Amino acid sequence: MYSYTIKRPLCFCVFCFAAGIVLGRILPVSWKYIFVFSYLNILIFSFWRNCIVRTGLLMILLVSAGILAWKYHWTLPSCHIKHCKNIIVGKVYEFRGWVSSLPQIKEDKTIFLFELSEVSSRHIKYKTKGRIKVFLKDRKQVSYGQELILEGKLRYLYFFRRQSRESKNEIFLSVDIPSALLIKPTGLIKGNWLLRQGFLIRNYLAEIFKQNLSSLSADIASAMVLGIRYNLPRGILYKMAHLGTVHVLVVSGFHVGIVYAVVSIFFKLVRLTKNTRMICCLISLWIYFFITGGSTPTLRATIMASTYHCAYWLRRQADSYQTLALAALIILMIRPLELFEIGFQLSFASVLGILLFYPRLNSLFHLREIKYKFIKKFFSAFFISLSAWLGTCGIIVYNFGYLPLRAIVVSPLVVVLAALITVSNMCLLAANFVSPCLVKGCVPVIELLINFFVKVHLFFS
Amino acid sequence: MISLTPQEQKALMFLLVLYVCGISLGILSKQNQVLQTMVYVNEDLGKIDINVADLALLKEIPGIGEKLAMRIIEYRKEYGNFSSWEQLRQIKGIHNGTLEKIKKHACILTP
Repeated sequence: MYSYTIKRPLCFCVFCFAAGIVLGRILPVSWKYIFVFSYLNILIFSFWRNCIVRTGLLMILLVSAGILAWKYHWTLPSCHIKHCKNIIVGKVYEFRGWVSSLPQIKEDKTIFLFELSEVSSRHIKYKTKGRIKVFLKDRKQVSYGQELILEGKLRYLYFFRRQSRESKNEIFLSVDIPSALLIKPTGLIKGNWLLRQGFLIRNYLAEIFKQNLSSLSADIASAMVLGIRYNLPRGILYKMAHLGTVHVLVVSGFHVGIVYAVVSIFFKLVRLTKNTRMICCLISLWIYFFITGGSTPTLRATIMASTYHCAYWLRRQADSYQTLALAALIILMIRPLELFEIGFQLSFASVLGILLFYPRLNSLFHLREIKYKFIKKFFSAFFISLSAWLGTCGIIVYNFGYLPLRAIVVSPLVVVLAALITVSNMCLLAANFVSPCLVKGCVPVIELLINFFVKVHLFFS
Repeated sequence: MISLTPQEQKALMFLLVLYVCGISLGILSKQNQVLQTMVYVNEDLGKIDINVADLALLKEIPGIGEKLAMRIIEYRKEYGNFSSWEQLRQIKGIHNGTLEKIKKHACILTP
């Protein structure tokens, strides 16, 4: 009898779990039936010894877990503001809660997400839950985790056409506050301690860029190194999006890799042993993850790096596909709704594209036989960029309706420039703590690179 | 078949059982969270505190223009915060009608 062994079990698990999440979105079945069905599966699994049947049952259980995960994250608590029929949009209310995102200051407005605990009208107070987006018509120093009482008019949030159904489910209301005087801090601090420390460090590092670089250079540096994109001029963002190179401004695996390389070289210079160096690099990556706000692409790269390190210490060979699948499984188990977000899809599709297409392009063009190192590296970078482009072009066409063909040519150059800019900015940050003289040396180099980076985009757009 | 040893299959099954149980309990707890309401009196909700408001916010109160807003701020700087509505009558430009209009949209919270 023919038997096929699934050699990459994690890929199988993540595929089944993701299929479950998709089915959870489509099937109008109550979670109770799925729960009972899962338990029946477990009972049968305990008694049945046949391998094929067991694999089938495991697959069904993973799909059921995916369905339940989607139902859990889609279900809002009964006390959520969405279920509060007495709270009317268009009226003024008093809201008590805490700041659950990093506040963005755009022009003269402060924008942040607010996690509710109480909503009060003139005569009734509701102990409710939910998140609303706050638009404050003033610049105010508000920090992540700060508990506030604010007064404002409730209205529906405007959504962009391409936003997923999942992102609109929980956050669909906003509050307009005409003045910072209508915001009263209670003095309490809530939220994740690690994220709070990360944001504090992020703001401090962004200030270093603002103090030393020109306005545009500081904005681009903050975007590339720290993931602060709301300050970027719209013109540049638009040109980069059309060229297909905006991914260099999103902190992702590429930036995590550069941070790892720089930190690794530093610890090597300090003469640390290999194991100590690897531990320090891993800790640095996790600190960087919290500093940049914990986005999905950064989490993917950090989990993959951690898996490779664990494989080295356990003297096991790390398989790239399994590592990618493990990162996807962990992210989907914590945030299953991420499966429908474009950031998640592009991040994983690009890595999958590189894993699938790069070795084939390498062997097709006999890259190993090229003698000259520079030409070999150039073509290697080009093929990596092309592989990532091939992996993501379907998603880009589906979501944005166009194919960024120029990205194939422009991407390798932009990626190299972005790497140089990121490294130079990291040197600037390090120099800021060591000596002002070194800072003066870094600034002209960064300004030159960023000017060239902007001119490349203007030329090709 | 999946290339997992029987021990690995058992471990995976155990983790899945825990995950399914946890998720189901989570959904149950979300569905059973009752919306609590309390009687709460805040007649000053939506009103601007006249002791704290800046020029821009004072101008938003119907009945107060730029000149009157500046006079209110100057009065606050010289004599301190208002403790009652009667004190506002001492400001030039505030009459009975104006005061009634201001009372509908403003309040005195911080003495």
